[in-house]
Amino acid sequence: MDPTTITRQVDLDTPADELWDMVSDPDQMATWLGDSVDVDMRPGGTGTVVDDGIVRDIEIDEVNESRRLSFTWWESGDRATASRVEFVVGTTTDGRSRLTITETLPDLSPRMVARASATRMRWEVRVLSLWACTVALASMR
Amino acid sequence: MGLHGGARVDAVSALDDLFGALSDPTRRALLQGLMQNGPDTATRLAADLPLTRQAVVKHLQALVDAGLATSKRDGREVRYTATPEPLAAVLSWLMESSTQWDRRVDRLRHKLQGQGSAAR
Repeated sequence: MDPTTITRQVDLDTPADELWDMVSDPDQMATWLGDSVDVDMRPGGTGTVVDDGIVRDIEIDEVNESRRLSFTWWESGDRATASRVEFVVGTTTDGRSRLTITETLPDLSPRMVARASATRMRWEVRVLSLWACTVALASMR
Repeated sequence: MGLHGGARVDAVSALDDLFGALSDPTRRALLQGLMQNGPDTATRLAADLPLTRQAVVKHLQALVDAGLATSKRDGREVRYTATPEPLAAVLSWLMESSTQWDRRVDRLRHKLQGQGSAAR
């Protein structure tokens, strides 16, 4: 397990086709992914996602018939903060639909490091964070 | 271990170096010691560990290569200082992004009329 990958899996009674529309149609994405989603939904297509006051530029990597969408997004104007997101819609053995969300951070940019140190986290919090992280790492390796 | 090559390669190896360095229990202990007790020398750090000074220097250098510590010559000794910012950056990304996905998944579920669901 990669420590810089986040995964969420959601099982729903919604038909898979309907769920796929919900996660791949920009208008429907805007009802849950963010406050606004404006993107040209095809490989190489670009756009903007606004969520919780954060404006992200987005570029579609892959969108295909097997209900798989992947895109790269980054805080507007700072591509070095890019992460890659993948949505896969499938079905479970008991006939429900399943959405698997994966977000991966491929790089650690100097700006992210600078920002983390600029948050002026209290020293104790940093030590606690290190402890939590090392416990997590020790259990996964 | 160090940062070589083009910008893209640098960035990828920064994360690899970070977690590579933290995967070793001795290096975690050294980093934690530097964070809790402040800057120190390899000689003094080795006194608390069942390791030679030379072995401790190697581990400290791995922390320096990963961006988790800096070294500075101080007279005849070299003092090491913890720089946990790269770790803090990864942790804050994990925390923020994780919270955001929880919120989005809640909204999606709510949108689809709160049908029975399970999330991980």
